[in-house]
Amino acid sequence: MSEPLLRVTDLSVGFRAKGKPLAKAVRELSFDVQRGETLAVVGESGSGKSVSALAMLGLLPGTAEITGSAIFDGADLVGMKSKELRTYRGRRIAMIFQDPMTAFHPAFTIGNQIAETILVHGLDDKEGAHRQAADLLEMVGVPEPGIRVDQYPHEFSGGMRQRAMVAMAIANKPDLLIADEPTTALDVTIQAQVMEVLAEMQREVDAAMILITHDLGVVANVADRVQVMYGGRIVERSVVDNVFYRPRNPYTRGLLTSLPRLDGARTDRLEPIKGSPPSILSMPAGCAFEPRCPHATDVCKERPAELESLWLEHESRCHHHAELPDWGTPVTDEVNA
Amino acid sequence: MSSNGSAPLLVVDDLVTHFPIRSGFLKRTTGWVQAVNGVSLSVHPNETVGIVGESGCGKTTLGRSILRLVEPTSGRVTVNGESITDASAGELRDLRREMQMVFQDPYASLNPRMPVHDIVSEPLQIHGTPKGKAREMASDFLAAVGLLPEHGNRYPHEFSGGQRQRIGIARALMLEPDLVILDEPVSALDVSIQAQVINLLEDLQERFDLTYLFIAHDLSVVRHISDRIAVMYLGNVVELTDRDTLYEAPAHPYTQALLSAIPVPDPHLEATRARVVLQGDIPSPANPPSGCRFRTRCPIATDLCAEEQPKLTELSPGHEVACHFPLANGELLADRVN
Repeated sequence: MSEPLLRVTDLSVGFRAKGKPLAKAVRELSFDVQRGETLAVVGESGSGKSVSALAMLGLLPGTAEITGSAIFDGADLVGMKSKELRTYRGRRIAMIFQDPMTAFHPAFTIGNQIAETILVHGLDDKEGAHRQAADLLEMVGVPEPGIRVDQYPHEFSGGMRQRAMVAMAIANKPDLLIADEPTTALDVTIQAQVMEVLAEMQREVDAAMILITHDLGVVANVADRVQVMYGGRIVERSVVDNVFYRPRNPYTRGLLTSLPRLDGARTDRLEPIKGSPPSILSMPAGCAFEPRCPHATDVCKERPAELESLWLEHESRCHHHAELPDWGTPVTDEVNA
Repeated sequence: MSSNGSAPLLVVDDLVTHFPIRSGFLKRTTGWVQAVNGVSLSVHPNETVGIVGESGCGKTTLGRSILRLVEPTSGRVTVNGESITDASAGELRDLRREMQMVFQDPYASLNPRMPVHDIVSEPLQIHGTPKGKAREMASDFLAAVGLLPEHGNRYPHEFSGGQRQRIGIARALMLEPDLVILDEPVSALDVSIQAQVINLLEDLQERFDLTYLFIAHDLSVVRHISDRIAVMYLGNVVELTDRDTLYEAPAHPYTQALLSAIPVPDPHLEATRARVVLQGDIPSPANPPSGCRFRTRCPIATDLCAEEQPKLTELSPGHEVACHFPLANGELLADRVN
């Protein structure tokens, strides 16, 4: 396999508040992103999925303690001077945020802001950049781009703003798109439109994408590979089919059985994961999922599990991954017992 | 959970709620936001009726108008045969014992300065139960929603989102209401916690003989919990039927488009589904389209749809649709479009 576009090794992110222990939001995170692929990062609030992306791009406040490395095309983004980092952000790596209302500056027109990202990264032609902004808006399906380009963010609906954000992200044909919950704030019919545009634009500029989301439906729709995070660590990682059809980690399985489904027969009773996620200030000494896990034993209390390779690009962090019951209908019964 | 035979607990008849738009120095009314525009439905004892729709469809305003937390413009609401819409302020206070509400945001709906047992026992005290007795009952209801008695002495900020929603549910149940209106009760929660709260709501319904009006945007959650479902679009109910019919034979183009827009957690199914992606945005309820309000986004709309608003009519027993050209049983919108 060729050199990955991004190689993250042992990335840890902690926050220190006065008189409190270091709150570790991300723990020794390692992963690769290949050119052109879509890697979905799945987890619930507090799992560290957003913080890891923000850390790589130098977008966390100064109180964050970041260690490890994130090699993007030969250069380490962690510890890079902010001036140098700026030559990557918005040009070679672009980010799409959840809330397009706060991500755009309310006092500048949409066209201005898209043109700015083009101008900052080299083009020295204001009118050309403005024209390009209008073209980009047309590409992402904003109607009447010639008028819309001179409007302000508040004049756009939520869906249109998110399209404009996609336009801004692809303006410099980046190699990597990081989309952090890009459709969570949108209604489903609008979400379908935006996901369609996002996938199309990704193909158009031939970029890789890290898609951060809690929505397993969106993941099933677009991802090539999936990594599931819990308590700041990856607990399972594989190609999309394995994660949905042959999950080998109790947390992944719990997420799937928690979901009410639209497809297939309706189940009478959901199978939630008991308890709630651990606080990053007081992580269990052993496996982070142990207090909630139906398969936990003494060894899970004693020491954390390693992320082990199972077969064919499938990894799971579980002491008992080999002994887990077969996945399918019988599993829920077994968990229940 | 049968809805037949018994008299309905809640009857909503042609309910309209419009909000004035005021502008200018004199704050003259220059228009109306037509949030709820003639909704009729009934809910039977022990039934769960789901109200689904996207933002701006009026589902939250409908729930609040039923309780008169916002004043409806016209129409009639009765609970147990007693009129809510005609009640005086004093009568309304008594009637509210029978109907309670659980709100979406467990962070905003609990007073941060009150300990939990005060939050939960306040409704009883308002309705005249002495403080000591009310506290005692609060402990019982906290236990019923899966919290510990000692949790009563803590403040809301000490709880997670899921626990706070349990507190909100305990507060709603304190007066032993017949009807509980749940407005997006699980949408602020993570999936693993969401499932816990849904199961809890189902247990409580059985234990306390509750009737639910369950308002949500998430069709998979609504499918799981509801007996019957009303789909709303821009202030109107466009389809109303039992759960299985709605998901197996949706007749309104909007219902089909909504169902097909939701990505399901199954990669193979996702790759092969026929999907109809609706074009355009939801129009503003201050300036809704003429005729059928869905026509501007409907892939099969005709001239008739612009002229005449379709009425909610019975397609088959118990299946009502507001569409001039409803889809037949098993017919796909995607096929009709092509």
